[in-house]
This record gives sequence, C-alpha cells and structure tokens, in this order.
Amino acid sequence: MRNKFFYIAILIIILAVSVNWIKEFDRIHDNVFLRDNFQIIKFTKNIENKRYREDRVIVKYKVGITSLDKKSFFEKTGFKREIKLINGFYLLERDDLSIPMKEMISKLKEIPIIEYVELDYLAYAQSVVPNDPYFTYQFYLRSNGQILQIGDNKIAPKIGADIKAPDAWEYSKGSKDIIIAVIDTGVDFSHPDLRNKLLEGYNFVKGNPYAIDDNGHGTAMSGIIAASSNNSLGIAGICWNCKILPIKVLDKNGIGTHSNIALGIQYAINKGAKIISLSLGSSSPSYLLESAVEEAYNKGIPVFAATGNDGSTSVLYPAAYTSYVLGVGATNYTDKKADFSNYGPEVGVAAPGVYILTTYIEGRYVYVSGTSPATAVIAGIAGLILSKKEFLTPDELYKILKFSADDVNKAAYPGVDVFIGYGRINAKTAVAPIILN
Amino acid sequence: MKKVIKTVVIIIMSISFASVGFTSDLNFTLGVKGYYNNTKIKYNNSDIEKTLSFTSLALGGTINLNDTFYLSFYGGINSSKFNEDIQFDNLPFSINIPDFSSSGLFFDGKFSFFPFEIKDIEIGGSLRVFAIYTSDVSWDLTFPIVSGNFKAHFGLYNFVASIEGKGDISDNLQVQGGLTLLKTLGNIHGEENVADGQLSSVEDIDFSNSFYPGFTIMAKYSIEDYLEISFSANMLNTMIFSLSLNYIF
Repeated sequence: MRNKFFYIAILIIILAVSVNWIKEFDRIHDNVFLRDNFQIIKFTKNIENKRYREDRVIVKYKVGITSLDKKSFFEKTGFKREIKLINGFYLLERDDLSIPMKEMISKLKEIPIIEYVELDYLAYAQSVVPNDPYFTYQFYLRSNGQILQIGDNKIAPKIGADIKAPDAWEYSKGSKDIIIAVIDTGVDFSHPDLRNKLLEGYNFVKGNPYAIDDNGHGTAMSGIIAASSNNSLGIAGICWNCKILPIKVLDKNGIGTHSNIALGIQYAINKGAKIISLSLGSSSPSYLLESAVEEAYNKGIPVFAATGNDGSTSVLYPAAYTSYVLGVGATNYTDKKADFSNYGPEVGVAAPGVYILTTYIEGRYVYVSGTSPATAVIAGIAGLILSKKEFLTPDELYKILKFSADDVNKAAYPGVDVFIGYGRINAKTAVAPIILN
Repeated sequence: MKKVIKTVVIIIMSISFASVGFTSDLNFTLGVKGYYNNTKIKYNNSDIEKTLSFTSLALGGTINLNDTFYLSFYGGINSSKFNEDIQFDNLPFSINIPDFSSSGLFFDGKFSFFPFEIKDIEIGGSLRVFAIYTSDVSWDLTFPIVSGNFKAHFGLYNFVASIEGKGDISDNLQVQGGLTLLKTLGNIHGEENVADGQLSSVEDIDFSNSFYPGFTIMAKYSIEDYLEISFSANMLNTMIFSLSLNYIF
C-alpha cells in the first residue's frame, strides 16, 4: 500500500512539471505630352568597380627566411603590418598606395623570399546578376559604386540608391504569362533587346495594328520593364520573362488624347493584360479617363501612372485617381526626390527616375529621366510580384509596393509624405519572403 | 479533417462500448506516457516533403475487456518542431520560417482486439489515431513605415492500422509485434496582418501522405501486480516511440 502511494506521488510530480511545458507607387494641357529628358549614350570606360583591396596583399614566404630578411623586405616594399592567416599564408597591409597593387604584385614576385603572392580579392553576397553588358550602368537596379558618364559629366550614384533588383531576381524573374500593357508611343519592334518580348499591339493614333514607335518614349519604357535579360546584350529588363503589349496612344511628339488613352486601356483589358503602365499624364481631369482606369481596377488589373515632371504640386491624371491607380513619383541618383517630380498626397510611391538607362528606337540605348521611367520601374516590379502571386488584387499589390518601400527621406519627412509617398520602392522587400526567426 | 477524426473516434468508442456491453470482466489502468514522434509530411499537390518531430507527455489509461479488447486514451501536451523551413507563398508578403517550433495539445487513441490465439500467441489488430494541435506562434513584421504580425499553428493526424500478435515471455514481461499501415493528414495555418489590417490574408498548407507500411513492437513489464511500465515503437517512414508508466486497477 505504501508503494502504491509512492508511485502515485511520482506520477503527480511528473504531471506538475509538465504543466510548465505549454507555452506561444510632361506635363499636359488638354492633350497629353511627355517631357522626359532623353540622352543618347556613348559607352566609354566609365565604370569603376572594386575587385580587390589596394592596401592588402596575400603572400607566402619561402621556407627558412630570417627576421632580418623580413625586416629588409618590409623596408623595401613599404608594407607596414603582417597578419598570419592559415597554412603559411600571410596578409600584408600598407598605408602608402602610390604604387598600384597590381604593379606591386609584379615587384613582389621578383623578391627572393616570396614564394607566392596574390591579390586580396573582394567577394560579394551572392545574388542574381545578369550577363547583359550594360547592366553595370543600370544603377537603378543595383547601385554599388559605379560611375556613370553622362555627356561630359561623371555621375556617382549613391550606393544603395537602387531597387535591389538582383536580390528580388533570386525569387522571381517574372513569368511569360504576365502581360504588361505599355500604353505609350508604341515600341521599336526590331530592337534586339526587345523583339523577343513583344506581343502584337495596337496603334490608336493611326487606327491600325502596328504600334510602331516614332518617338522613342514607349521603347524606353518597355526596355525598363522587360528588355531581354541575361542575353549577353544591352540592358537587363526588370521583369525578365514578362511580355510587353505595346499600345500606341501618343503620336510622334508624345501627344495623345484622353479618348485614345481610354481606348488603349480598354484594349489592354480585353487582350489579357495583367498590368497597365501609363507613363503619361494630363493636367485636366477626365471622367472618361477615370472610368477607364476604374474598369481596369475592377477587373483586377493594377494601373501605374506618372505623377508629372513639373516639380509642381499638381499631380497629373490619371495618377491622381488614387482609388484605382498608384501614382508614381521619381527619386534621383542620390536617393532623394527628383526636383522635377510633381508631388502631393496622390503620390503613392517613388522609384528611381533620373539617368535611367534603357532601350531606344533604332536599336539604341539612352539615359532617360522623368516620372515616366519611374513608373516603368514600378510596373516591372509589379510584374515580378504578380508572376508569383497572380491572385493578388490591385489594392493588395499597391499596398505591398507601398509598405515595402524604403522611407529614404525619413530624416526630414518621416513616414508617408507628399514628396515620395511611402518611399522609394524596394523590389527585394516586395518580392523576397520575410524570414522569421 | 475534423470529420475524419470524429468518425474514427466514434468508431473506436462505439466498438469499445459495445464490447463493454458483452463483458463483465473489466480492468483498467491509469498512467503517464511520454512520446517521441518523427513524421514525414508531404504538401498536397506537390513533391515538397518536410519532417516534423514532436515530443509529448500525456495522461490516460487503458480499458481491458476480457483480455481481448483494449481501448486506450491518452491526452496531454506536446512540443513540436519542423526540421526544414516552412514557407507561405500565397500571402501578400511571403513568409519563411526556418525553424518552426510550437507547442499544444496531444491526443492518442487506440483500440486493439485479440480474438484469436495460436498456441500461446494472441493474434489480432489495432486502430490508432495520434493528433496534435498547436497553439499560435506569433512574430512581429517590421516594415519601414508600417508594422504587422504573422501567426501560425498546425495540426497533424496520424492514423495507424495494424495486425499484431502478442505473447508472454515471462510472468512479468509481455511482448507484442506487428505490421502497420500509416496515413498522415495535416494542415499548417498562417495568418498575416499588416498595417492594422489594411493588408491581411490567411494561407493553409495542407499535407497528406500516402499509406506508408511499417512495423510496430511493444514490450510491457510488470513491476508490481499494480504497476507496469511499457515501451512501444512504430517504425519505418514514421517513427513513433512511447514509454509509459501505468497503475493497474
């Protein structure tokens, strides 16, 4: 009997202990015209990427050297410090950088006490980097210290003033099922960096199915969104695998009517576009235009529109129809609001919009500035997102883009502001999964 | 899912009570039982396979009817952990949980019957259901301007059917062995809420395995005439180990 109570007591103690185990986002008058800044580029040697440290070198000494040999070596070469690495390798550091390290390497190889020498190369976090040769000039995709030659000027974009595209590409490169309607001046169908990405569109200016670009603006926007990527040619588009539906509503001067724009939007809807990019705007409100974007929105198609390039407080239409459209402002290469970017409470988000390298008519490439390219950037990112999440509603997509944006002007204007809305878009945050620890 | 569980439990209980009605020789044991379970789960409509490990501590007992029918129920608490990352891709912001651990409730119900006897070996079978249901685990989501949270829980159900035989090795030691067929069903539920509900969504990741064959062994040792200790193991694709200490009434 006493044993019985003993074992029952053990059971009760085990149970008591176990209870603690439960726990828990040009301007215009009555028509629409664009005033983005285009600069045809000449590519020269205008890129400076760091590949190795100039102040360090890795060496291996020959066996049997003395401390006197080392002292003489340091005095002769100007190295100041030595750090032991592994397996007989040493890291040598210097303060005097007057002799380029590559030249120094040649000298070190001739010094008798040195058995082996190599540069201390830099390794970078792995992300998807396309092999398009002009990718390095597309600072808006990845700004890592490159220098741009714009005319006679050298521009050094701020490191990080980009949309973090390579990080986003790790998770989404887009889908061919995502059709992005570029309602603009048409497109250069023969451009080698675009021709494989284009669907047959429509020309509402001439009323025929040939949406041929006689201005260049539409070709530029299309390239930003979805130029052929990783094809060893030209630039990389943001949405690698998305398709472009070119719809020409603006003439050779970049001017078009509300009626044609509305028809273009409806055409995009009927042709299965998943995203509508409107790098255009009008200072005049239009019930017709509002009705067109409302129809797109109600049919689950997100619409992105440029806020305008006057630097004024008048956000253009249809960007100002914020119930249906995400209005996009522009930031510059220093990650600040671009001077020309119109602002107001209608600005949802901003994207890089200054010195944006993209495709142009006659097979060329240009640097373009304006809220138009900023809009195209957003449309491309939206393509990456929808390629993975076609179930998203326009409103959900707008919120993802807004909430994931970097508040780059928070020092002066913390939170949502009239200049860049929620902030400069960040493709990585918008696309990549949030890792919870 | 709930219907399936309910049906199985009802069947087991019906058989049990029916059995009780046909017998007057009723014994029962009460005790504590510890479990370790390692279950492979496969996402529905996908080749993605994950492994879930959980340990449980439960209280319960077994009703013995005429030394032929056995009905046992154990309920308690569990601590569970997925050995691979869990990713929710159908939320506005995708969520990846590299180390998803949770705790919650556990239930183990088993009905065994041994109607035949060949020499000294009793032959029969059993139906068993393991169920775990964890409480929500919550994480904060931080964005540049807004904030939010994500919470997730899961439920898992193992159904095991077996053909078994048992026999006494000595007065104090009884061994039991057999072949099993195991089916696993479950669901991982995630809820995302950003900017005070401005952006919210839920995603359920359902998983269901094929019927996996395996085998089971069990040993029961009587320490005293009123106290026994027993060990059981279900093995192959899914591993279920348990150790119990029971008081015999």
